[in-house]
Amino acid sequence: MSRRKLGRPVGRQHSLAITYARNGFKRPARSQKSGKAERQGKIKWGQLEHRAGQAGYSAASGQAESSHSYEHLQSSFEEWFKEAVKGKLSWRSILTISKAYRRGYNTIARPPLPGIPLPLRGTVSAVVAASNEEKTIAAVIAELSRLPIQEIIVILNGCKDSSFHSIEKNDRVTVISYPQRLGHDVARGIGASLAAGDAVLFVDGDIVLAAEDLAAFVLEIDKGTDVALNDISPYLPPFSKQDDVTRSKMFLNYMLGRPDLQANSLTAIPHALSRRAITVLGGKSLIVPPKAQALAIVQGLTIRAPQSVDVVRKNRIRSENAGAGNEVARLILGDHFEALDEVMRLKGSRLKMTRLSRSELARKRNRR
Amino acid sequence: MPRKRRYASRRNRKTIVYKGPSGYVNNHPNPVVSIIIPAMNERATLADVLYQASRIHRCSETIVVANGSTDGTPEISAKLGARVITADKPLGHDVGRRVGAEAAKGQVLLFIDADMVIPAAELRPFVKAVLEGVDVALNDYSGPTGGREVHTVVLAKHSLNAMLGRSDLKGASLTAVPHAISRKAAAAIGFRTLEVPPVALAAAVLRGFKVQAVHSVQVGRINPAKYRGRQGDPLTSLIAGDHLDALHWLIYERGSRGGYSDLGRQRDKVR
Amino acid sequence: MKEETNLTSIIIPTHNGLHLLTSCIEAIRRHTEVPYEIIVVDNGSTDGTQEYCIQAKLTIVALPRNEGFPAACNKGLSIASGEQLLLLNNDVLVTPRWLSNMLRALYSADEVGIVGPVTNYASGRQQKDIVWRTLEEFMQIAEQHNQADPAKWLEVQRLVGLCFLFKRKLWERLGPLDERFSPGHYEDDDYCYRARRQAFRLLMCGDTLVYHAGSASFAAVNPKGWNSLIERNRRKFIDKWGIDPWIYM
Repeated sequence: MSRRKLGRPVGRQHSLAITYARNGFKRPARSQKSGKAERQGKIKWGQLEHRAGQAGYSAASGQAESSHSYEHLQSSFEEWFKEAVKGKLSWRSILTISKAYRRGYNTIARPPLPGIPLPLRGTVSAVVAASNEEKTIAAVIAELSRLPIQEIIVILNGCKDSSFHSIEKNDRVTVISYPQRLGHDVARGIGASLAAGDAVLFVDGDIVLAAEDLAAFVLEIDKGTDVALNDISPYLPPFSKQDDVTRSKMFLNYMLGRPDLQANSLTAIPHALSRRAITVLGGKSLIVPPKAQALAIVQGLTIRAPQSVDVVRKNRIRSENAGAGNEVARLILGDHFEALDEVMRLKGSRLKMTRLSRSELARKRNRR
Repeated sequence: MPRKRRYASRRNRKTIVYKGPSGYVNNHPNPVVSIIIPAMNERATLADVLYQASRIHRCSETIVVANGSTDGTPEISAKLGARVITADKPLGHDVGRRVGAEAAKGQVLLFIDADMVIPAAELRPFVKAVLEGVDVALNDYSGPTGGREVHTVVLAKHSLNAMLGRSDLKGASLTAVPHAISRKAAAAIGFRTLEVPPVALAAAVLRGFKVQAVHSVQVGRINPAKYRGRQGDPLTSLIAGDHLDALHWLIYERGSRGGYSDLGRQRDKVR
Repeated sequence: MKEETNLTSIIIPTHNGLHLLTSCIEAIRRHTEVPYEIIVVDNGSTDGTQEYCIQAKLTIVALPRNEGFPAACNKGLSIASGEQLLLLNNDVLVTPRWLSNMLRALYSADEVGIVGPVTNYASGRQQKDIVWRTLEEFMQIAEQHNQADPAKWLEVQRLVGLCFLFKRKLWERLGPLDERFSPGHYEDDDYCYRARRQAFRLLMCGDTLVYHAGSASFAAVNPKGWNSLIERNRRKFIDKWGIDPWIYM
């Protein structure tokens, strides 16, 4: 890992730097979340990054200035990556290499390109749900445009402001505009119905997330996981101080046999789904995120939480300002009821929790 | 009486005061308070527990529901003056509570366990609350919440309360003792419901009874074995399942969203 | 009939045809008595179409570029929520009782999959000889003409996509329009052919007359191109099915 990572975040701050800061600037142990090739000692870090930088440089210098573009950056990187990197890498390592390649490319390219290349096997769509977000929507789309996403679907609903007009004409952006408010999370179901990519990334139009943070979710799905969740555990207070929504998310995961997921859930963005996950879950269940979460677990989809992106603090600030925070909290509790109702229909009202009769249990517990 | 002396010396406790030849436990014919104690093989602590029970209220009765005991628990209880209800096979805690509640005559039903000795002074607040109008007086004890990993049962209790809209109760529950219920509320909910404590709690809240956590008794410390169960402990699974039963019941009573609005989601826009 | 109360999703692909679109929408709003939703799919228009749709409180799917008729239809269809789906050209003006008449035909039997109206200008059997001078006169003729009459329903083998009403179960069974026929022509023939292969029936509603301005935009701008496009796509149909689509017209 580059030494620069260990100092103050350069340019855009992103959660990797925060993770380092939290760990007292110690490099995370190599074995933590690293890929098989790395663990087997097959990758020499400094060398690969250096080679990436050089390859980016030569890719850019081999092209006329006018043909420096994100498309070229992406395609040349994919080609190079296929040859140069054998074996499986963690998404963090892939991102490091991507950025090294881009740095090399941008030594030549003028102006330097903002986009990040990623080695993807499939296609990616993004779904952005927004209602009256004229202040942030353009920036959200700008960040998504920095990733190799073929299709950015923006779903505006009930906008009384100039959200539609703040979206710049962009070759990859489709905007669906509904005059009426659709209600919470309905846009996600609509976006899922339209999206054609092998991986679909879901974000909201009111929180600008850096492309570097979103890359993890895209890479996770591309490598075969069905559901990539935001790991919000680092941002939660201790249990006694947690709110009702957090507890119900955790409860659902625990009851379905996934205590490892803690309070991570499809309720939060960003998250990404595979094509298979969308087919299995169906657009209708995505409208009630906890229900989709429950079904994902019960239907045996692979679920991971590869990256932590701080949406919690921003959300809390917003809902404290509005008074509607409580209303939405109650809606989410209701959603968890729906989720339980759904899985209870599939698995019985006790979700396969012990069938031991109380008398047998009493005998066991009171053995003398 | 040699048997009593041996008892006393083995336990090395302070002297026990006997109120009368028939035992020291009260059994008032028209009790205000019924103290219900499910017990199976608890002779080590039983006498102390019964002694504390006797000091809670003048006008009380003590009912020991002793099932499937093999160590003489029913006999000891009877000798100490309690009303004893027995059954052949062990019924378990929660069923024992129901059996006791059905047999109780008092207007306040106080539930305690036979393996924990809780001083009468810590039990009186529960009785007092019910006499003053609270229908379900819970132990304001939320379990261990300080560690990194939360225990499934602690999580379940907190979650049920949250989903009932009663997060003010934190982790209080009818699973834990001590707690007191007015007989009126218990009858309205149904004594059978007491067998699944989380369902009883949900029913009490739903039916509009006054449910409060009135006093804190740190039962975790007194009886660590019970609350330090591993995640894989079958009791954990049973209690978790009970909480799911409660939520299932709430869905049945209030609809698939537990009565919460979805703020006008246009669901028909997605097929 | 209870099916009439189901929602009809009207999908209107459009490309730089604002003036056509506004009249089209106005006519729908005036003459449709049954529940409907309109989804405009904008193929990268630069003439203010999107602004108009937002102002007129229409649901719009604004594509970044012109993706052609079948792709645009498919995008609209994938987010449509109605039980019945209807493709409509932006140069069609609907007429009194147009949709209720067609719905009656659509739900007249379980196997009926697709229905279409008659019009003043269309390829194939749906073209009807009408004499009119002004649009008002046309509308008056249509008002008289559009009396519901099952005797006027005719079984056909192909319907044009300019006003194309079909059941959702067809969408579920057949999937989307075939985008190899982009930018347009013969995707409707292809869909009709696939529907008939699945034993669905097609009805032409002789009791429903709508106005169609014709391929004014494309043909006017690019007459030779238009002919070669039609020819190219006819070839594609033949390559796909081994049959000349003309036999069904």
